[in-house]
Amino acid sequence: MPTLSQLLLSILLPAIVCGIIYIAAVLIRTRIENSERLLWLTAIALVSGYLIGYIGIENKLTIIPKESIHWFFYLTLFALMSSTYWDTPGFGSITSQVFYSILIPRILLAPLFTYSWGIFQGIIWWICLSLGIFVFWHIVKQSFTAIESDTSIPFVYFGISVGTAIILALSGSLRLAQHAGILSALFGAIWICTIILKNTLKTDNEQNYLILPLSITPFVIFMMSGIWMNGYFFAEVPWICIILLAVSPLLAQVRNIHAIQRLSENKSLYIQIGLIAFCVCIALIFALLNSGLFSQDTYGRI
Amino acid sequence: MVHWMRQHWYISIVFLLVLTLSIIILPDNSKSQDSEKGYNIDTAHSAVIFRAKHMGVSYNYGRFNDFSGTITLDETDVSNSLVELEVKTASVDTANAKRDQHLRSPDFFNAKQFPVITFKSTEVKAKPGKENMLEVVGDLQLHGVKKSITVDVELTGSGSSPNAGELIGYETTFALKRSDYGMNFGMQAVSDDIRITVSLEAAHK
Repeated sequence: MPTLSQLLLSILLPAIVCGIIYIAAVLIRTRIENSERLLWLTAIALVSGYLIGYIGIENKLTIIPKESIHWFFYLTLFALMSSTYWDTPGFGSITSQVFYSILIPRILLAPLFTYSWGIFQGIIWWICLSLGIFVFWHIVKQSFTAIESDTSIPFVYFGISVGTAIILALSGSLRLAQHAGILSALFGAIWICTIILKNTLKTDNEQNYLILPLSITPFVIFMMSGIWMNGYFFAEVPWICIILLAVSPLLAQVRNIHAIQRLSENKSLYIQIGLIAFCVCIALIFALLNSGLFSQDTYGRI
Repeated sequence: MVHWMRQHWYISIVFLLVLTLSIIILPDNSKSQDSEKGYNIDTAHSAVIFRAKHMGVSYNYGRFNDFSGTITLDETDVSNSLVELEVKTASVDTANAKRDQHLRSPDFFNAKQFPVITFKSTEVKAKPGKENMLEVVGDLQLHGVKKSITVDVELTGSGSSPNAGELIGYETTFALKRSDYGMNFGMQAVSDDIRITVSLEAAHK
């Protein structure tokens, strides 16, 4: 079990740092003209928070990665770099999507390409995972536009991160669970800060700045897919849990169903979030059943 | 041909002279090659065991079931001897399936990323004043980190078997810190100090 100081370093401190930078980013954007150019400030909040949590868990930044987890440091840097041009419409973002979708499985699963998979098997896995990440990119992107509530997007990703952390802990890697725990802390912090700022910022125009920008999608994609791939390939997380977690934000599209559209805004929002939460809960149940927690085995209880 | 040889008899003398000189001048390698014997580790009669302290309370033991290796032993000059061992991390066995799964995960051995632990000796020497004891220096590669270690090895016995032929046995027990090999996770639950015992029986190739 993680110690209190580890929890402080990997959960509380990242949340505080992320929250402070996020509030500062929103306030700066409300006071500056052409603030669209500063949308990447939100990504800075997430990346800074994550790096603090990363050091809290791993004790240091490993510049030359030896393990797949060590690449998470570089993934955050890639995410930060991408966030600077992500909201700019054009060729850049789609090229990056293709590039990173191909790159991420190759670097994170390098040991499997070396030791476990033959050339043919490796290529098949590589193509499938690249396509999977590319599809997940669009799932995340549509969830940002389909959920029309500033406080709900961070809440949804907070829920998915918490689900991921619990599933990883149940499946046998507390280390990966802690990395997912950092994401929970970051999205939780942004969610709370959004609620606080919603009551502080008076005008609708100001409140528009609370909507999470698309520039943070690279961070969400890189970290979530990185943790899930590590979980499935290196920590024996059931594949069904990963699939359910990955498709859960897709359920935000339920709002487009005619019957749901006729409901009030709040009701349709509750249905969206409820369905996503339901999907995460099913994944949790699968992980729980697979964990052997109900067996006579005392390992992990002490 | 015979006629030609009779005419050029001095060529035979030169040839014999060169042959004699080469025997005298060139070093005799045949002796050391003859004294070097190769052995394959017999995994059925060998063990790689480790122990770690749990919560600072009790020692928990585990073993690796899948390993292989060779011993090259030079009886006349022990410094020419060589030991190579390869242990499959996925074969970790602590008599608890859940714990084994956890040990294989990225929290500990990270078995899919680091599938083998290897040891290759770089120096073997006899321990002065201690019969049947060797000091073996070698490179231990664990969790992607290679470090030189020195271990005391005891010759536990030698003999022969009707099926396997000539046999030798060695055992060593040594300690290492897992943090030295980048295995830092869960220090409060599982001790940093790990004691390893390697007991090998090897059969002549």
